[in-house]
Amino acid sequence: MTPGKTFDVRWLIAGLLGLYGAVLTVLGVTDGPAELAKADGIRINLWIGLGLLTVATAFAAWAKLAPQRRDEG
Amino acid sequence: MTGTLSLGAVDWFLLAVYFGAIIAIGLYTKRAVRTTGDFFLAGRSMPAWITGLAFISANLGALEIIGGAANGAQYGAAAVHFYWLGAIPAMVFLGVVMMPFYYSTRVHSVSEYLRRRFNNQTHLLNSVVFAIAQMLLAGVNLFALALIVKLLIGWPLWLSIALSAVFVLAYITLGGLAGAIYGEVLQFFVILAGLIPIVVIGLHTVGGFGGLKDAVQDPTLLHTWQGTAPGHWTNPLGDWIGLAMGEGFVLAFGYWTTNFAEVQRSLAAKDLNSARRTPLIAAFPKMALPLFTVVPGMIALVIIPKLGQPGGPTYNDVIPEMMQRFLPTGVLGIALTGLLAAFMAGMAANISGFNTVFTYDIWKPYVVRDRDDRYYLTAGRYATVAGIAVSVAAAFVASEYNNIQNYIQLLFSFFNSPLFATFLLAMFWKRVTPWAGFWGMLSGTAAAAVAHLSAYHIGWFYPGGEVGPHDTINAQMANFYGALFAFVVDAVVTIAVTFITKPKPESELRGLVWGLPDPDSPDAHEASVRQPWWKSPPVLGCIILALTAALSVWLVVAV
Repeated sequence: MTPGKTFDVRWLIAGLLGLYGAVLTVLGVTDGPAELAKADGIRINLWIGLGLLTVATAFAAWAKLAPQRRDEG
Repeated sequence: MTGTLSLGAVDWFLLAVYFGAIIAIGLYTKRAVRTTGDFFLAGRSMPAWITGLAFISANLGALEIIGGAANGAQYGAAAVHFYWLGAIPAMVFLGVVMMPFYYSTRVHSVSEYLRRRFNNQTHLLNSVVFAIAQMLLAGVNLFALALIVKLLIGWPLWLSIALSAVFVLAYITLGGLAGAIYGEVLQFFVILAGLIPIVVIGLHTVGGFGGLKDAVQDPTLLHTWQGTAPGHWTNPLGDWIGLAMGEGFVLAFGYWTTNFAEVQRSLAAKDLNSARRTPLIAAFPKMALPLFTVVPGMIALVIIPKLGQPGGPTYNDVIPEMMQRFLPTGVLGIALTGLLAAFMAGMAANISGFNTVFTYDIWKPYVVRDRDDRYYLTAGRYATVAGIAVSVAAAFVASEYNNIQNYIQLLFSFFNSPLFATFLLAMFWKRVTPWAGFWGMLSGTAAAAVAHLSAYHIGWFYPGGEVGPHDTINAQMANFYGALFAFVVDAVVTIAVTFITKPKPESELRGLVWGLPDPDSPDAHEASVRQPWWKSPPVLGCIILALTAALSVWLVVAV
């Protein structure tokens, strides 16, 4: 397959994880006592959300700084 | 579990986004699929980090996740052997030693190697067995998926079987192997994001690793290598002979080095060095996986009353139980998505292995020969549809039986452990003759069947060393020894037949056997390129083995 310069799976990873991270971060900030109690007091949505945003940013940065070439690897 | 999961709108949204992305991948990669090489081998164009992640994901089906957690609960810390002993050394061997034989000979499949090295009979025997096994395994995956969906969401079995079959169909028939690989890379991240919260909250609940260690009641569940003396073992996984030789050597090497559903991911890599690094890159996450499967299993043992006992939840319910107990809306949606994605990735790996072997190794050489590439590309797509249809049927058949899952996994191990003996001899001894390959494989498989049937009457596999009327067999230990027996029979028969039949001339074996390099190898130019140390397969392999050994020693000393 020759995706050429248009398809780079790193952008897909960044996009999906970025969206997931944003949704979880918002949820995490607004989580009430019931959600906190379920997760043994940990604001789990917030932490996982921030983690996902970090990974998404890393993939976006990698894709931006080292664009895909045919001989890249 | 009591009742299904309480899913919020956000959870459904996260699930929908993922499956939307999967279909988009299929539609997008379809545009680049023009030849059979694009469809079945993703055009040999992928960088190593992508094939490496796909390699680990193809083995991170939900059966492995749920089964890994179940093993953690049932066998305790010893379940790390399925990762550190039962996978890593074999993955290193595949990358460092065996990959050049697969990649540089430009074979399309593991079966095709057997045709070039031996003869058509060996090739056809292996191809047919593999194709059937893959369809059955896909069916088992489908059925297990339907069961979990019923447990978690409450949908009827037929609905989830039909829905997931349609999804897998869409992204494989459209995008071929590339579609499957990109899907697997995404799945890797989503499943981790779903498992991490379970581990974090679970450890927090029991008071960290120290609290977990104190809370585990049965001390043998903390043993990894302790209590493995042959004859009077107390380790949950039996003695060290079965562990090291059966699981660590024969079963692991058989699975990782000859299972085409795995090897195929490496063949999609863009050059030999990337192909060799594929299993090595996959070994790093594999090393960490016990943290996400075995540890939740052990936590579950502490916090879920009556787990694995009559009247309580089964070991297979560990992950679903923990999701229900700990995860609020949000991370719950991601965990559910990851689990469903993992089922489909497992099934996709089976189906993409099946369609390749069916088209290249059965249809093209033996049924309809000498047609243009376009014809075989279409045939491959039809094979995918047919393969999925058969696996759906297999899923409905499986739903009639209680224990078919174990049964089919056992069947599959019948073919893998003897196959490894055949490959080992084939690759390192040029004298091995074509018919020796055929008879060795056949008798090895028969030996595996005999070993399985007779194990129940042998006291060695029972706690205490005798078959008592109420004892249960250590099935894992019997399985390890069975694999070892199949391996030995295969090797002995192969060697014996070799001495009474005629070998292939050396000119036909170039590139296929150790010590007979192919001067016209398409990868010859790579030999002159000096790779930096972090791209050198032997260096990476040594780092991985040293790390794994250090982890194993640490676990024995610290726990």
